[in-house]
Amino acid sequence: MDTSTEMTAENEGREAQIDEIHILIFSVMEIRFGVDMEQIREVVDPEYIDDDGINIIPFHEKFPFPGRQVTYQVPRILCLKDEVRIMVDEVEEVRTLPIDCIRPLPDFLEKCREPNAIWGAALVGDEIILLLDFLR
Amino acid sequence: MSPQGKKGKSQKILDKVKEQQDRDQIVNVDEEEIKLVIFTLHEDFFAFYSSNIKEILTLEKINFVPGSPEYILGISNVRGDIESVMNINGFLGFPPQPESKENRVIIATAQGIRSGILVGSVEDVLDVPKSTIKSPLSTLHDNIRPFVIGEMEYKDHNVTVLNVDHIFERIAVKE
Repeated sequence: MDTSTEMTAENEGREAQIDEIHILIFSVMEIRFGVDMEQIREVVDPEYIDDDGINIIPFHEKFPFPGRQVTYQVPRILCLKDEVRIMVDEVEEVRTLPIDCIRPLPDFLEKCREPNAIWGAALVGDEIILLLDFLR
Repeated sequence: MSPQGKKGKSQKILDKVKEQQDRDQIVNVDEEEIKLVIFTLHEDFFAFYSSNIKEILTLEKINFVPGSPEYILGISNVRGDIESVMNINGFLGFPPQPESKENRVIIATAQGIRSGILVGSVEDVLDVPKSTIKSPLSTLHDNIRPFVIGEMEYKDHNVTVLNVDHIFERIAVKE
């Protein structure tokens, strides 16, 4: 077995061990979203954000809500590890979810929607949390 | 009077009429029945062939998914599975379905697509002889015509029978 094959096998072995995910949960327009905590550097109140020239992107500019007037009741800035800042609403909690509560989006929906960072949905009780991967 | 063993004209006519009646009855017995799901959109009655229908559900919370096309209302949690829910009103030239406690989600499959369809209410599920479904009215609006199989009467209502395959085919083209 050559080195690259060994590394691939090792990576696959490591990935197979993922059995839970730590997500930060927030809402926009009463829809709950979750993002892997590994992608978040910090969460900041907009009043205390450093004015260092880095743009703040409102969530709805990356993820359109056609026909709806998007408002933010308790805005917070997600500072991602790759220096991207996204304004979201009502950051609720960090939760650990077992991966067996995660479902892919229906194939049909995946085919007909614009590709974006929403990669699946977590079922928590009767609630659905849309999962985001800002690196996707 | 006719000689014995030889049928008179009237008897021949009667025999022929009875033969025709028997044939009609045989046709009726053998006529294919179709199971339909009758539902409403606004005040109008429609039906799908039940062969395309997997479930009929009460309306649970629908979660909008940003980036979805206009006809996708979102996703819903159906006993631990995620189903998409669409609004076909736009395809048929109707305004969006107003929310009511009578709303139902019909889970349909066709063209390799499985999705929920939001309807105003589900009125009935019944078997009808295929012959009760007549050709569509020539006055049908162009928006709806491509999706129509035919028309029938149900409790004094005109029911437009829709072809789920054609609706999903249109969506597949949009994809």
